[in-house]
This record gives sequence, C-alpha cells and structure tokens, in this order.
Amino acid sequence: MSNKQDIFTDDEPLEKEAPLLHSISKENPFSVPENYFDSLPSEIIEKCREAENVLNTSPTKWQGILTYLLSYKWRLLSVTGCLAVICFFAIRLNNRPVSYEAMAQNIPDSLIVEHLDNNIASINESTLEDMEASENLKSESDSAGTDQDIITYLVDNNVSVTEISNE
Amino acid sequence: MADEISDSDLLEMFRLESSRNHAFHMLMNKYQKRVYWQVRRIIIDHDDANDVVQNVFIKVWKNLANFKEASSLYTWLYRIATNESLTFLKQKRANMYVPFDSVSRSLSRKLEDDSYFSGDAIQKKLQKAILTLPDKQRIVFNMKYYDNIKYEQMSQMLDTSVGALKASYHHAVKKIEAFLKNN
Repeated sequence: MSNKQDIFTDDEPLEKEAPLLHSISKENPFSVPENYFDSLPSEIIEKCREAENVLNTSPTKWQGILTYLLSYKWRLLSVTGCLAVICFFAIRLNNRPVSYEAMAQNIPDSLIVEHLDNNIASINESTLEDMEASENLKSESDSAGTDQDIITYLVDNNVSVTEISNE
Repeated sequence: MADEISDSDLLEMFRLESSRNHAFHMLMNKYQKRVYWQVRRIIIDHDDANDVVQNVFIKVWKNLANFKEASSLYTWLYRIATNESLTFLKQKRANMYVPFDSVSRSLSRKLEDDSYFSGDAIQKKLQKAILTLPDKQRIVFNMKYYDNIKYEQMSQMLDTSVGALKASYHHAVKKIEAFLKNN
C-alpha cells in the first residue's frame, strides 16, 4: 500500500516499482535536422501570414457546404447508397411474379395439341368443362352490345317500353 | 534575451499591430522546443511532428490576441499541442481504416527507420513500450517521466482530475516495466 502511495507522489522512487525502467537513461533519444529550430519561427510566421490571407478571402457558406459534401466521407456514403438502390431493384426484378398467360402465348399451338394427344388419359374431363364454361361466360360478356345496339334492337323488333317495365 | 521576457509582456506586445511579429517570434523562441518535443514524443516521426507543430503555432497566432490568461501561456500551448497531436493520430487511424494497435505498430516501424533517433537500443525498446499504451496514458507518461510536470499543472493541461492522472501514470509504469521484462 505504501508503495502505491509512493508512486502517486511527484517524486516517486521508480527503482522500487519499475527497476528496469529506472535503469534507462531519461535523456531525449530523438533528434532534429540541423538548424531546425533556427528556421522554424520564420517558417511558421510565413505560414501564419498565408493563413491570414486565406482567412480574409475565406470561401462563402455555399462553397463550404459543397466542399463538405464532396469530402471523402460523403463520396463514400453516396457510392454505398447507389449500390444499395441498384441491389434493391435487381432483387425486385428477380422476384417479380411470372405471368402464365404471357408464357403460354410463347408456346406454339402444335406443341399444346401434341401434349394433349399424348396425355389425354390424364386430363380430367370436369376440369375441361369448367374451363369451357368460364370461357363462354367471358365471350358472352365480351360480346354484350352497347346501349345504342340495345335501343336499335328494341326499335327494330317493335318492343314496347311498357312491356319491358311490366316484365 | 527572448527567455527573459514575461508572458504578460509578450501578450501585450502581440496585441499591438506594430510589434506583433516580433512578439510572436519571441514567443516561438521561448516555447518552440518544449512544444516540439511534446508533439514529437506522441507522433514519433519528425516530418509529421513538424506539420503538427506548425498547425499548433498557426492556431496560437490566430487566437493569442483573445487569450484570457485564465491559465499560464505554457499550459495553454501544451493543451493545444496535445489536442493537435491527438487529432493527427485520430485522422491517421481514420485514413488507414485500421484499429488502434496497427497505428501503434506503424509508429513502432517508423521508430525503426527514423534517421532522427539518436538513442541506444534500450531507449528504442522503451519508446516501443510507450507506444503500446493508449494515447492518453502515453501522453501522461511522457509529461511525467520526461518533462516532470506536476500533476496539478497536468490536470489543467489535460482537463483531467489529479487522481485519474496519478492512476494513469501508475498503470503506464506497470505496463512498461512488464514490456521491458518480457521483450
């Protein structure tokens, strides 16, 4: 405990806590180029003047925003965003539901006939009847005339309006 | 002599346009070495340290006229130098996209090739041991071990409590001793 307290004082004895560290010279092991400190003040004052000139002609607010937006971080972010959008649409395109009618249009009639001939035994007759009935319904609704056709029919066949209302 | 002039006289001279350059020149002569060595021990490489020191003094030039003298000029300079050094390391890490230990290893490699390292093998080993510490602990260790700065003054410079600084130094010493033993 006393050792710990010792190391917390300003002139702690290192030799007890860290004898290896204590044995190393505290002399500065780094050096600088010759005359470095002689030329540094003039060099820095020159840069300070340059910085002051830049400050006097500082960019406008919009130039600052533009520079920020063109910075590396934002460029990286926009590239990532574009990639994400491309991936999203590519995945959606791949997962689009298949239109069977469109697929059927591409199959030649001869192939369908051949398939039916070969598999006639396995085709359920009631299914075919249902399909036919629904086709007829569709063609009936398709062939239903316009209002003008109905009026022309009624006039041509002398059908009375009261007769229709009574019915 | 530049060393004899007091900080308050320097500041007064700096605030006058006519003596501004001369005052700044004197300020640099007075503090440049201490600031440089503080930065160099954190950054390791001379060229990088030179860039950081120039940025420190450019900041000082811009803000010195408004310096409120709440702390001593040296404390203020030291604080700017530390912050600039930490910012430099942070940017380096961001540019390298690598975790902490890789920057530490890169600094260690620089130490190997540094033509401006005049220490012996054991001093190099000590520098490598210091480089294994987290940034803040490294700064505390350097300030205490090499510059023998008092904890109270260090507390003002780093905006950290005296207790935390003492604990930080204690941990740093233990880690360095272990590194020296095991390597």
